[in-house]
Amino acid sequence: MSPTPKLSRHGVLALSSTEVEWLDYDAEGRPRYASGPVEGSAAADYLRAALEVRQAAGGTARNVVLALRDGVVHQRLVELPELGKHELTKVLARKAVQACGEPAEAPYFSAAQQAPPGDGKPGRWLLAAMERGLARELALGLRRRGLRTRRVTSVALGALDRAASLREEPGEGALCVLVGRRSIQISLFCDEELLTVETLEGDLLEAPQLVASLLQSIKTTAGYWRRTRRGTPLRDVCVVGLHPDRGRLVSNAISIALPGSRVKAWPAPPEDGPAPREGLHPQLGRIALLECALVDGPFTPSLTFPLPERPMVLATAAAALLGTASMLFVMLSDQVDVRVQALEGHMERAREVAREISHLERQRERATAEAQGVLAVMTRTDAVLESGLDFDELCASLATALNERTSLLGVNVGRDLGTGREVALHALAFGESVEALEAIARCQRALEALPGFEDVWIDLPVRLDGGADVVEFSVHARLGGTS
Amino acid sequence: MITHVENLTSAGLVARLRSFARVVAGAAVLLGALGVPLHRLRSTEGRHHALVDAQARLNALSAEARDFSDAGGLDRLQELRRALRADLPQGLSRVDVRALVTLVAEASGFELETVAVGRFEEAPFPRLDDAIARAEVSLSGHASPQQLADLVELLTRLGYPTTVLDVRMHRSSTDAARFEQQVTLGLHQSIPVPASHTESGSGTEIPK
Repeated sequence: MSPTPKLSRHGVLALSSTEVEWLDYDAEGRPRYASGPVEGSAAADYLRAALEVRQAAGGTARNVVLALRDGVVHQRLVELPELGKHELTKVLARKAVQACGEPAEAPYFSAAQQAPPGDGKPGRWLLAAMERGLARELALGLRRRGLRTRRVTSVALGALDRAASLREEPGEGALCVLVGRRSIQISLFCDEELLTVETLEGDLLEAPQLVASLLQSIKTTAGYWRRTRRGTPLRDVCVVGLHPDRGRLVSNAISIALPGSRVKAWPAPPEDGPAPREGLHPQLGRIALLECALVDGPFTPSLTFPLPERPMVLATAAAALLGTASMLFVMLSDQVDVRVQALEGHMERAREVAREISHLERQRERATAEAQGVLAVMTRTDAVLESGLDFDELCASLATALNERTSLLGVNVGRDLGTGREVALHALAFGESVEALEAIARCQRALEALPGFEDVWIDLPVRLDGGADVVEFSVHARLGGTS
Repeated sequence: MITHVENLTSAGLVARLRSFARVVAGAAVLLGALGVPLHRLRSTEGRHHALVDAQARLNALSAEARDFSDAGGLDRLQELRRALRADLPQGLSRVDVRALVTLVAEASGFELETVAVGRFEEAPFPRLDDAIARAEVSLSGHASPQQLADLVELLTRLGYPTTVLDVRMHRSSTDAARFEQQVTLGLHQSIPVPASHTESGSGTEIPK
């Protein structure tokens, strides 16, 4: 597994609680490596040490991968029951706090599920955590000095991905032996699942007797693997972080201790003969280990966190925004001004129009009032003329009511007292009694049919002279009220 | 698929508020840059639309005023009102009325026997600039119904609005052409509204 292309030209800044290392490559691909101690535990101490080792190595890379090591990043395999996402996040955050030793500020963490819960077994999570304040201040400090933190990861877990890439049977269990400055980490994994992690404290280079403990641990882990996998032997073992000379020796020792296993070292020793010391970088083991921070894999956690925008970036963005807004404002204002001026030209007449409208409306009000006055005079005059008896119409009505056998003698029309006028008609009816009565009845019916005549009744003599051919009678009625 | 849980990208409340404030400020700046001129344009267009509406209203009012003016205008209305009011006689005395009725009765063929003219009293018609007063004129004499109608018609056409209040007519036989008539007429004239009366009233005596 080679470094991810986009990261291959980045520098690697590895930090542990006691040591800072720098690695990048020159134009010919030669590594530039240096390491130095950290005097203190504050971010400023790490920063000072980092700049010193970068300078000592002659590093030029400005994009940096922060490769965190023991004491700075904390890895745990934790077992958790099945939980909801919110609850799971809270529990993992609590575990991260515990792993970091109860820091003042909630630490950053990233956890990858190794085995889901099921069959009564809890789920297993690989948790990586780091102190939030330290990481943020470090990244900000590097940024202030022109170094951009492109990635934050764990060296130890990156080494697992390296080991996973070297095994020959991907589906089988494999052992990764990561040899560090102060400890040796023995990890058993299968596929993308980390099963066990064991750490031996001590420097293998300074205490060769550690090899015995290492071999014993490897045997124990292999035995555990055989037991859990019904006798299947553990075959792939990868030793990461040792110089090829030492790597060959340790690999041979492991091969003897674990017969039938395939042991590989990274960096790999030369293929043929004893390792030629000439031409090999004395820190090739460390270099190979730091390179692990440049690879991507299922075990490599991304601990990259966002940093607040730089003031300069914010200022630039604000300036760009203001510039754009100003430009838009000016462009739009120019166009609007042209349009507004065109409209304003028309609107000079607005006041004049309003004045004219007001004048015309006043005129119309006066005309309306005058017309209403005319109408009132006409209405009153009509009322005056219609207030009395319509004598013409009365005469016409009587002419209609009287027929050829009746003749008028007299008419009395009283005053209108509000309920109508009393009308009394005196007339003669000619003919035999029956004919005269019929003529009188016709007269009554005719009056009743006329509009305005109400309550029409006939006043006849008590006795009719059977031999006479004239009957005198009266018709009384009420004319509908006028005024 | 490997499940990952992390808190690397979760920002705190202050950071969220700060980001939100930045976005709001940026949006406000852009909106301001676009909004201020557009608001000005919109406001001006609004005023222009109002002017267009006002111009349309002015045109309509002008056309109306022109038509009104062509028809004589306000002067014509005032003239009409004066003429209408002049249709009612003014300043008639009882003597004038008696002479008038006598003359017109003669002209219409009404053979008068007696004439009695009552006083002018305000009639129950609406008051405008003036009030209406009515005098009751009692006539007796001989005439046909048509001649009575002619008498009333003639008085009215001469400019003295006259109405028939009551009438009694009788003839001795159906052969007689004329009736013996007793008629009460109402003759109207315009009087000024008495100063002490502002609204409708009745029974005002005209001092003549």
